Amino acid sequence: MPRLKTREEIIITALAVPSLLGLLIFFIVPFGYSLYLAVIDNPVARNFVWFDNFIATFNNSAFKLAMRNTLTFMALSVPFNLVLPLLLAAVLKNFKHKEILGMLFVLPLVVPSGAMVHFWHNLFGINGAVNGLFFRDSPINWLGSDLSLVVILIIFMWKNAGFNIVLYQAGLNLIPSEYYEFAAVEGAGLFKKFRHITAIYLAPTFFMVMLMSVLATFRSFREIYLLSGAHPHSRIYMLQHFMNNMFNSLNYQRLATAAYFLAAGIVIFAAGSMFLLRRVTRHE
Amino acid sequence: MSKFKLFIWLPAIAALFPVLMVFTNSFMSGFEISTRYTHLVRPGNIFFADEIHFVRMTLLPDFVTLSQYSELLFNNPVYIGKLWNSIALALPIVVGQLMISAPAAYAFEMSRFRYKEWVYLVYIIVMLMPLQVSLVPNFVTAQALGLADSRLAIILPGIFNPFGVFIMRQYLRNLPRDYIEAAFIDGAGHLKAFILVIAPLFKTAAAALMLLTFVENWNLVEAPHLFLNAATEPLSVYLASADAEIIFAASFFYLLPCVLIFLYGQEHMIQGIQLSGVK
Repeated sequence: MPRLKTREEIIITALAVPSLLGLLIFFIVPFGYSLYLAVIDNPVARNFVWFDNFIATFNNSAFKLAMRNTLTFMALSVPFNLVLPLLLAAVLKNFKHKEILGMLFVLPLVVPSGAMVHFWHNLFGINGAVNGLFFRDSPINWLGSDLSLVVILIIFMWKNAGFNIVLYQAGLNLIPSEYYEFAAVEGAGLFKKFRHITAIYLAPTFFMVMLMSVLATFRSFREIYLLSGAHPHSRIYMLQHFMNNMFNSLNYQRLATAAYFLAAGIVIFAAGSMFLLRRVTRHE
Repeated sequence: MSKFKLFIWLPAIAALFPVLMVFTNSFMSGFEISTRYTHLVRPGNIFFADEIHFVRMTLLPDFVTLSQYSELLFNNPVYIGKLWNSIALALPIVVGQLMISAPAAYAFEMSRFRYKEWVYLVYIIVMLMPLQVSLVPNFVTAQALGLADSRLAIILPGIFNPFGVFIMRQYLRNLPRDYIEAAFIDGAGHLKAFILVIAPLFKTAAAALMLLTFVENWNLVEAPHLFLNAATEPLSVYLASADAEIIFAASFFYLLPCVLIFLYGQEHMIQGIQLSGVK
């Protein structure tokens, strides 16, 4: 790379200025201001109360419910979304109609949630097709009971599995096929090949898929809101429901503290998975 | 591989089925919809008042008709209005995001600014934040700038979403260095190099970014719920309460742009997903 003159250096850095300004104005500065909102009692009196708001949010029953539900859904959906797409991508690798099949799996990803609301209602409503086919005698209230979690899981998998399949496919393609051939010569079975080749070389992909899956679960609100409105069954009352209530009542203190809790959680989780990833790839 | 056939084809069909259902049912008459999909628990007659009328799903309507579409497009100003609302949100974001992100990504890749990777880390962190976090600063800014109840409250943060810079830079990283260096040997400056050499090479990345951004912003739910009123809400929110007699055509017409651009640019889209996952 040729050495850059100072003028060039300035021009090139200037190309990032619009983006930087926008990021500052719409994300960084107001997020910093939110920290101020989080440590005062209210926007009028503006008395410093330090961690009182954080403690109040942490002890708030609606926040706890939303947090518990979001984490429960994560614990349920992320393992499914890690394993099933991996199996599908692995089998798909040597499949005849790989292109068309891959396309079918990605299709739900582009379908907007709103377009499917009526379909899911027809499937999981009290008088829906699922009840009509299997539970005619004692129809299950899918969306109005603990089973609503299962419905959201099914919709989540339908929508998000394709994304992970694509990531896994890319990861699997990076593994030289000779490795498997050598292993086969050595007499390794399917499990051994997975344990000693796939698992090791796929580790970076795996961590990425995990991170993306965790982030995807925060979007489950979309389907829940469209399916059951602002007041769903308490099992699927998610963080976004809580945030919406706080937005509606303009409770800045709750909003800001909840956002900071969540942001801290995600940064810790992301940094943790990156750290683990480094360790795994170093031991290779 | 034949023993895995069912394992692959079953989920593949399950992935397609809901979309296919909406498509074929969009040619159903309003009357057939109301007899098949009534959500009410309909009393058969006064002697069997508590009998439940179950949904009878079908892929093939009894009679094929375009009545839903004609009703929708020529007789339903509300739907057309919401369609416009969706366009007025998604299109400016897609265009603006591209125009802001491409130069910024180039700057991040080429600049020798000592702390650029630290600044970039901020981009990554903001990108990782779910809407439950990022809507709070968006809301604070919208209030401060007096944008409440305006589309701009969604469009502006959408344009400056760091995702675009990330995708574009990922793409740039994978470009052979020779391309860029060739531009300098010709004596071109950075600005010239960007316009003449990099911008055309950006086409693939731009297509991927535009596809992903469009799909994302065509499907906004949280932000419109927060910032928009009934007059400006997009189709994504409206469809949950739309009229049942036209619902399939309304849904299909709404998802069609996404499916079309997906079919048209699927390699770009898949490349975009892969770029977003490569660390």
